[in-house]
Amino acid sequence: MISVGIVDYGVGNIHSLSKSVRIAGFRPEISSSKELLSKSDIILLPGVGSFSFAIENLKKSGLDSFIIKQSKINKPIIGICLGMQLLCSNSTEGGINKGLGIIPGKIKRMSNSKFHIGWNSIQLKNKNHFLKRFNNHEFFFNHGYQFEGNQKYVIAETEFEKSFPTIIKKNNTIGFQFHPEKSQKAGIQLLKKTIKSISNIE
Amino acid sequence: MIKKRISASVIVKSNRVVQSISYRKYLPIGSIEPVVENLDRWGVDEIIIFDIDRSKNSLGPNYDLIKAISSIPISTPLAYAGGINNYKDAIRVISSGSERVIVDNLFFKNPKNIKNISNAIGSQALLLALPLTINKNGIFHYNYLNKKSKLLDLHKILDLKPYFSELIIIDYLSQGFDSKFDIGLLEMFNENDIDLVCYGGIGVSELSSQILANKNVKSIAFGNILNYGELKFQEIKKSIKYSKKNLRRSIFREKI
Repeated sequence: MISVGIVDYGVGNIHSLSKSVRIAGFRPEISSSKELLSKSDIILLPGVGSFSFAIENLKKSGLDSFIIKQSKINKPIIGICLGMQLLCSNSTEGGINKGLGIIPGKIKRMSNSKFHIGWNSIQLKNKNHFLKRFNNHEFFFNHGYQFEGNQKYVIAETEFEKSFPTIIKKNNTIGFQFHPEKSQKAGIQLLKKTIKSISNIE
Repeated sequence: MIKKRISASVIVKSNRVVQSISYRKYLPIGSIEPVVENLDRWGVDEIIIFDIDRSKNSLGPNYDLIKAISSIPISTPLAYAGGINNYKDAIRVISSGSERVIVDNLFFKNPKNIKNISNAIGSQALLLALPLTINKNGIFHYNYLNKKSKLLDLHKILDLKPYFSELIIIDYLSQGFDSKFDIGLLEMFNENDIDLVCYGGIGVSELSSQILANKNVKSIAFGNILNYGELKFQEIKKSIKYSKKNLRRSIFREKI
């Protein structure tokens, strides 16, 4: 069974995420131990929180350099919501803070200082992507900051005043701006498909 | 396009779900797990838990209850209100399984802590809930701890606006009654860009569509009515006349 190491860095809905990973058919392992996390097949970076607080916590525990190292050896990594934003170069939330820099791009406040909260659909840019069956499906969003970066990393976008990236990917690292674990059936199926596809383990 | 939400509110008192009428009378419903499990199965857009005796009894948030809910498990977004006093409480509520936290009396008691919570969990994850009532003298906030009402100062809310994402307006006197929500409560916010969740006596009628048509309203929440039958949520959603394209399609029994 594929093991999913959920990074516990003091921020994030680790309990509900762990349950969703289990429903999707995988073995969740919540941990802040680099040794334990490195043994898992996939690393999952959760996040409900502010960027500045979260990156500070990652740095304090040394998990920031650990995650960067894992990406360099091509370990599959999934970032969810704030977890996705942390994978990027920097963010303006709570001052300008450097991110992990795994996916190049900036995190900026959404236009008109709006919050994007609730259910919205995603539109895949490449209709042959492994997530193609989720094109136009609705997922649960809860954020006020968004990704801005090179389009080559953008897998899907969502319409909110104007389109913005909601799934980004570079090599074996993928980030979701929405919460698959809180998006009912479609979310669990998307999580399942993603974990299977990027882990390369059947 | 972001959809307006039809949310479910669950009132918890002494670890049991109750039907609440005007914040005065409470009728027992039962254990929380089956109630929440049904709401999740029916595909409600969000579940809002009001754990009403935590602040009153200085108990702090009920982490075991939140963990029990997320262990069912459910995959519906969860917001929790109950005894949250500081950012450490808020972080623990989120790690226990709730995506969003709701504060009420803290807004008046210690607004500085609202800023601290927001700095830790992000303002998108923080909601403010206010039990309100309206009369010819204005809009009054009801403090359920000392059971007193005070004229609401909109400036105080606007000062804190960067620190919370949505304001839950509770027409507490209408709670438990059908189609009694006072739409006049929304007028005060019309000139200000504050995202609102409306709750308390909305009922299944034209009123729900009128409330949803307000530009600031992002969600309406139903409470007691959801306990009156199997698949009640589907019935409510079907009956709402408000533009279907602005609401999420029903996902119950949907195959992905």
